[in-house]
Amino acid sequence: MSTLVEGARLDVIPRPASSFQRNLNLVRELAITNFKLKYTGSALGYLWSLVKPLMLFGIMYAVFARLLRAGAGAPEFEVQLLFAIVLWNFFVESTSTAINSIASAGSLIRKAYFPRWIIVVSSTLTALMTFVINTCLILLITVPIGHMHPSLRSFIAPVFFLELVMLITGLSLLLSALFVFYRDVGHIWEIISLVLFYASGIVFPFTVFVTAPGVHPSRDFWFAGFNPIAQIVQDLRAALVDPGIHPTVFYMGPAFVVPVLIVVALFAIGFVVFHRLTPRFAESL
Amino acid sequence: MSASITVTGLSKRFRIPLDRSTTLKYRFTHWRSASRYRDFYALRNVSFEVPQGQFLGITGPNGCGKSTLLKLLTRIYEPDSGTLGVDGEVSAFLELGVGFNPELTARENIFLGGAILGLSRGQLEPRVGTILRFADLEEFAELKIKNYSSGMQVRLAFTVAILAKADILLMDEVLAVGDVNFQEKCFDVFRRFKREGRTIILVSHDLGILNQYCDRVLLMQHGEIVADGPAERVTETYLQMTLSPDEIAARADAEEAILLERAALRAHAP
Repeated sequence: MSTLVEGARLDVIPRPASSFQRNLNLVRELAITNFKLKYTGSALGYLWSLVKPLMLFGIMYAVFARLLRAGAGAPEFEVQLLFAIVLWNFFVESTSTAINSIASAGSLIRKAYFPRWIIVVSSTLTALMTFVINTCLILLITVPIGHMHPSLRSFIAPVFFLELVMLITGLSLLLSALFVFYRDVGHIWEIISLVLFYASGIVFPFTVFVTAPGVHPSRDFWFAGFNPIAQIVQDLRAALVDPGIHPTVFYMGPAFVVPVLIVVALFAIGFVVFHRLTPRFAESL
Repeated sequence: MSASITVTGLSKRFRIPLDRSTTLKYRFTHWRSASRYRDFYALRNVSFEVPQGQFLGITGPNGCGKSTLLKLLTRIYEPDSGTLGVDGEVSAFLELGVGFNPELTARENIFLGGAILGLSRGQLEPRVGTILRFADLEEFAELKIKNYSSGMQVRLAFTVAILAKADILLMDEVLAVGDVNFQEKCFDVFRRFKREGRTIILVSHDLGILNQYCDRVLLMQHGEIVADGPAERVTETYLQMTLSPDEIAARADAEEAILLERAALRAHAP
């Protein structure tokens, strides 16, 4: 052990002055670690995160598009379906991972101090990395063969991506904090996810909820239209897949702000609940 | 000299539940009974000041609240009442290798452990070589630390822990791990920190270590400070509190016997 001292002089390193900078470092390192750990030790590694949504797409395509003829007549329905499934996969993977994030970081939380939201945000960031890679792969395949029709409208897409990330972060904060105290939250969320999958117009076009634009919207329509995931999926399809697809504002009029407000409200609730419960994490885990 | 740490009237209460209520069903079915618990005060109205540059020891029997106090100083726990003033950059070693992941290599763990201390990859990258050399692990940079021996893990963890510049160091018996050489190594570093005017708080059961290094020792019992003063006087009080006079005499005899034995060994050494 005497070799420890000889030959190496270790100088201390001053920490970055801004806590924002430090927090950002930690978010990044934790996200990179999560990402690495998720795929090390498996032969196919990253491919698995591509296989899962593709399998789901295959099944949904066979059942809904071929057997039930959902989306017949909708422009580029296959691409709409694939794109929606990748979005959905991002939503469900990130929330279901985040829900455990605080509880499974117990040893870290009991032994070191840093803002606890970092754990949740880094978990979301890991899912975002997978999502970005998968989206790029899909664009690389579908744009050249002419199934995606980017237009001027595509420039608005980042706004909806941001809305999705905000929705996920808000829910993740809320669920991960509650999960520390009530383990039922995990099961409840699985059931809600299942309901949301079918209530969000992933496997059929948004037009299923509408008879004709402007015509007396049904109750189902409002249920679907106020669902932020349905709105985000539809608006992103409209922005990226085909100009023939209408954005939600076309069907809903001024009520299109409702899902956006729901996202903002969920984020605020998640933030407040997380903040209120944070002091009790260390002693409850 | 100015105070690095000022603690006034600090209390920490834990609620010990009398029934299980970790499921929502229980909450719903037993909503009327509210939650039944009893209060346990881990700390009661604790006040003290630590001037800058002091090496303070905290000791006391198990469950006296010393670890809780350390966790409050680190901000891991929030106090129920009282105020806590900490002036300066804090590094806490409540455990060695906090945040380390066994599935990652030494190199990756340096970035991860460093990030928990607040250091960026950019700051660590150019120093990885030096860090590994210091920990005597140069050949094992790309080995997953789950395949390290415990000694190697401790060396890496300690080296990473002392990387960040800190004015105040808080330690919870991390020194109990590792062999004698390693403990010696740790204390070399702490002596250096002390020379550099940093404030050190060490929670330990080892009265020998407390006597040897601390300027001052706090003795705690049942969440309160029962003695505060120069190391030797307080450790003496602690001994008298826990041991009967016979035991103290026996202990002194045993220490003397060990010293004699060592002297004999030295005399016989070539």
